[in-house]
Amino acid sequence: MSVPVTTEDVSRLLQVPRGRGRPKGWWGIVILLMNEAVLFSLLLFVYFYLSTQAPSWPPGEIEPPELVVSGIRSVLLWLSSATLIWGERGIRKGKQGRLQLGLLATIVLSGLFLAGHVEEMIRLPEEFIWATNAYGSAFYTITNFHAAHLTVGVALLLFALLAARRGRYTRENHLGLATIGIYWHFVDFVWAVVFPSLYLYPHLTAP
Amino acid sequence: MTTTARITERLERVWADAPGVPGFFNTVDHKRIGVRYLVTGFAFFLIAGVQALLIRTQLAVPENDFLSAEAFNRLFTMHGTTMIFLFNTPILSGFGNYFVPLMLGTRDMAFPKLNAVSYWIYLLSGFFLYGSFLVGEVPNTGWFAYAPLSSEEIFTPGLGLDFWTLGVIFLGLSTTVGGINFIVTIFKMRAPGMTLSRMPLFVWAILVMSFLILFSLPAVTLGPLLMEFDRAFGMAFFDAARGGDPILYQHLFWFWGHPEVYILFVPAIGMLAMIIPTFARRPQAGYTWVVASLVAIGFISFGVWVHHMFATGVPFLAASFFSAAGLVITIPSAIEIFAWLATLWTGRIRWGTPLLFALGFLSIFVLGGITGVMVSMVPFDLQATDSYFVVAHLHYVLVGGVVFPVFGAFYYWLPKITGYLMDERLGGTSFWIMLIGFHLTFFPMHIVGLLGMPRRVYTFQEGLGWDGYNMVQSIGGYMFALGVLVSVAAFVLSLIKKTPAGNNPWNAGTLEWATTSPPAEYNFAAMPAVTSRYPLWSPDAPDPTEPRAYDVVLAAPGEEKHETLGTAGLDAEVEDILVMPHPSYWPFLLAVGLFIGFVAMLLRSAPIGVVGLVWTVTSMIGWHWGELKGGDH
Amino acid sequence: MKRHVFVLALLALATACSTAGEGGAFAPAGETARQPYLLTWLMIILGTAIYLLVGAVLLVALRRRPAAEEAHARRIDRRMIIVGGLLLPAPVLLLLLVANIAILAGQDSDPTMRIEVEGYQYWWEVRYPEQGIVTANEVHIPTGEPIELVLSTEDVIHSWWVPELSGKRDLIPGQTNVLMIEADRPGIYRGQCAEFCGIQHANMAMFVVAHEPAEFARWAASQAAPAPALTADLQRGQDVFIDNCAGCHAVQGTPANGQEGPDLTHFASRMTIGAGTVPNDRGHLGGWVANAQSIKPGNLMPPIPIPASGMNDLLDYLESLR
Repeated sequence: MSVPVTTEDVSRLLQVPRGRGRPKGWWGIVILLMNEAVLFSLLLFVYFYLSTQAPSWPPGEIEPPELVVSGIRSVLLWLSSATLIWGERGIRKGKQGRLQLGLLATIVLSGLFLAGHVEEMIRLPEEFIWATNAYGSAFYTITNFHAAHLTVGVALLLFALLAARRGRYTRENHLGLATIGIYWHFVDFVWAVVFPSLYLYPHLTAP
Repeated sequence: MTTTARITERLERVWADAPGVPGFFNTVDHKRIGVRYLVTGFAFFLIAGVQALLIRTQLAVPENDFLSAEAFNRLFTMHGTTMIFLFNTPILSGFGNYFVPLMLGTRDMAFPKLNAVSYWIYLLSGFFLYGSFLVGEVPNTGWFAYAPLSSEEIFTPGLGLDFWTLGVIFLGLSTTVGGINFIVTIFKMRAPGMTLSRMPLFVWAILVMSFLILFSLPAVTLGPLLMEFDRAFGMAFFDAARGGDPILYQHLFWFWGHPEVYILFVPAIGMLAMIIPTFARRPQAGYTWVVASLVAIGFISFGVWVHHMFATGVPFLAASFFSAAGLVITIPSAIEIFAWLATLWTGRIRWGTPLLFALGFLSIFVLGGITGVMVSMVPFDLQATDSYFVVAHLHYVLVGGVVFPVFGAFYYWLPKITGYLMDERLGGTSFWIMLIGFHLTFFPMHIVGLLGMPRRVYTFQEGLGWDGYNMVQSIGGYMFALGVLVSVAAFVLSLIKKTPAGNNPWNAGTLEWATTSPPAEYNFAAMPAVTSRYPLWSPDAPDPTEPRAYDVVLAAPGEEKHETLGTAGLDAEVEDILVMPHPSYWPFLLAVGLFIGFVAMLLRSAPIGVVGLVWTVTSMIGWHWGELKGGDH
Repeated sequence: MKRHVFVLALLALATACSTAGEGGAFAPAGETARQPYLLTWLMIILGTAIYLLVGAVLLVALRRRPAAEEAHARRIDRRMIIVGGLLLPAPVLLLLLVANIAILAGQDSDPTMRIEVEGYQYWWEVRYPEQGIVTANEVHIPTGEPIELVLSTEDVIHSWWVPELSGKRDLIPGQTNVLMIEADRPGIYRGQCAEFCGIQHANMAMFVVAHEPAEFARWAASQAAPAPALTADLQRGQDVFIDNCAGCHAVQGTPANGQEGPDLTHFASRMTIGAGTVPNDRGHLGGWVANAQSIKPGNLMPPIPIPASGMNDLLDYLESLR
């Protein structure tokens, strides 16, 4: 094929498909989350490793974690993944209202979870702190690592809500939402592993 | 003006960096960032080399008082920390940064701003670590900083260890982010037609390295982080008295520590797999074997870490497993070695300094691999570990397996980067002095180690029979340093003499040699499509100056976007035109914000922490401002 | 060119051979050191052979004429990779793995005596629980018997390593490790701490002293006895000791019961001061007591200012603690 010599705009010649495949930002987040998954796995390794070194778990006078409030807020958190998916399905059909409602519900549910976490951080030091023993160090570190990731997620959701209210997302173009979504579901999934390990497991091994 | 000239002139204008100081801080060009990694990394190599010479001077004679115990302990700590964290890993990233996009036939990395922040974090983490010298509180418990010596302030008070833990964590951010960037680039931006089995082996190596980084870096973030928690908040992760365990630290550290040496060795394999075929004037023998070995090494490297801990009282069954895994990993390495021997055997040898350094690799690394098999054997390791034998082993594999290939890579690729040839005689001289100096320094260590000399000792007693070995080792050290200086001189001379290198001085076969030397800002005017592993050795070699229909990518007149092709799938089919970011100050500013945050953690200061947090968050918002305001996501 | 390198390698190996017997892991003095020793030589010989083989292949490769055609080259490639990369290493590695497991599994642990070693920054406390002996930096054992060292510490990680008798084993806070040693013949076997433990890690040596069984029994009996009765002159020295040293050091049978530093009940019977740092003679002892920091800077014993007359008495007293 010969190159036309009368024009320097050759972009018309380029028979390149546009916009196929997921944006590279999405792939970047996926790979980042693989890295974070390893981090959380290692934290849980630390927790279980320390538990094998202790005569009882939790050691000493410490009681296993309370289950009612933590259980309820965990369910709320996992529910928030469902509300987010519901909102995403809405925008796929072009329903702006449903998207915004879904985002709002997700934010509220996670806010409740975080409120419960804060309550726990205020209540627990009477019983034990991070410096009491290795169990305390692991418990405070892991729950707060998760809470920090969750807080970042809430910030991203707030940004998404603001963007949605300004009409940024449409039926055709809502890729940014998928990226935030995958981060959010990851954080919820991490809690699905952390909660049984930190809250349920000590009850199983307690005499 | 011809069409070609008009197109290239437009590309130059669209892709050019700002001149001077602004351009210095806001560039996102992978080549400029790559050069910075190379320069900064090599500077740290020289610094760590001086530290080594000081160590060798102290140990040249028994009961020497050239250095105090404290000074010596700081020096060996910073020597190891600098070599592993601030030289070895970054310099390979530097070559990766510069050459992976070129080898893939594309115009930049997948995330150019992330690339920039990756470098700035590296530089600032280096400043952070060396800031310890400025305040006189330098890390001093060895480059792996075992607990509880390092984790309890009663044993190691002061800021030194906090500099170490926080500096390592800070640097880890750079490495992780770099790994993500390489993976997405390699999967999404290959030239059309560049299937995975047509990718240059250096790219394969960087890909494997990046996955190793992804899965191992969290451990060297977590170990030092928990150690810092013990120090700063009185946590008990590594305090046996409160239910913690010092061995936990070792597990975390070495879970990263062993893959790390493959993070270093695997890219070096990639470099050798580019150099040796070029100087044998034929394709790499056993390409598929080499790729399979790289992947195998990657996987197995996660299963051997306990061999660093055989002396801690590991139970018999576990020790046997890790011993076996360590032996198994020898096989893929042996396959690589014989793949190169085969390439040389059937090739038509052309002599040059890069080949000399590749041969130096063989001379040194093979011996290091053999001693590696030896220390994989538990009964032997219990004599050798923590002695000068293992110091010898680690230097044989790291200097032979990484430094020599890196020097070879410098001689091979600097002509492409600078546009000037380097003097072959100086190169050869440097090689021989380095090779002989290396063996003189490190071979005797095998012996003196087994005679009973432990590592990390600031002095040793007279009359133990260790004197002669240490003197020879110190003389060798100075000789090796001299060899390095000759290479530095060769480089400086090349910049003075300015002998033009041309596009492809070695007549190599891969795409980076299809550009000018140095490459234009936009790398390729015509995006190449490939049909073979060595595009320049095949009949349809692309010419960078001749735009062909189909492969020119340029925005419509009036638009000033940076565009390149996005491809996907095993066959690298074109699926999109990617718009790359323009230069930006936000990466630099973000790195500074993080630096402030880490200083805050070092000084345990909440006000500084708030400044750092606000600065960092603002930078992140500024970074994404274009997307936030609207427009392409 | 490559020839020069091989000459170097051979010279180096010759050096290695010539040093055999100069000590360390090359001079095993008991069963516990002999098996790794045999394995070591097996691996050195195998390793040298492999290194020379690879070197020879390389030399030939560099001088050969290139292969005639592509298909022929590819056949050679495959052959070299499979033979050199798989068929040659695999049996060697398998052999080594079997040897490894055989040695590990074959180690019997039926000790005739247990000795407790506790590591401190920067010295070793040595206790014989059955005989009621407490000493420092020297482990005395009878020849011809497997002895179990029980290793512990409460500060940082140390590592016990006397290469002529065995491989090393770490001392780790929160954990107790055991190590079997055995000496065939009498002698003094030297070792050093082998895990960086702080500023004076380099000066934390230890000695295993192997005696004929009868001789060992005599040593144990004298060590188990409390300090001998004092003459009037030595009483002055003991008073100085109690005033200045008893806060950290103990002497059995006297009011001195400090637990920070080494037990000094039979201090004069030991060969060195400061865990092998200087010989145990009057001159060094005086210097050590006055200012241990000048001899071993960073160790945990502070300077002890004692006027000259008191120092003399103190040294006389210490020298009497045989």
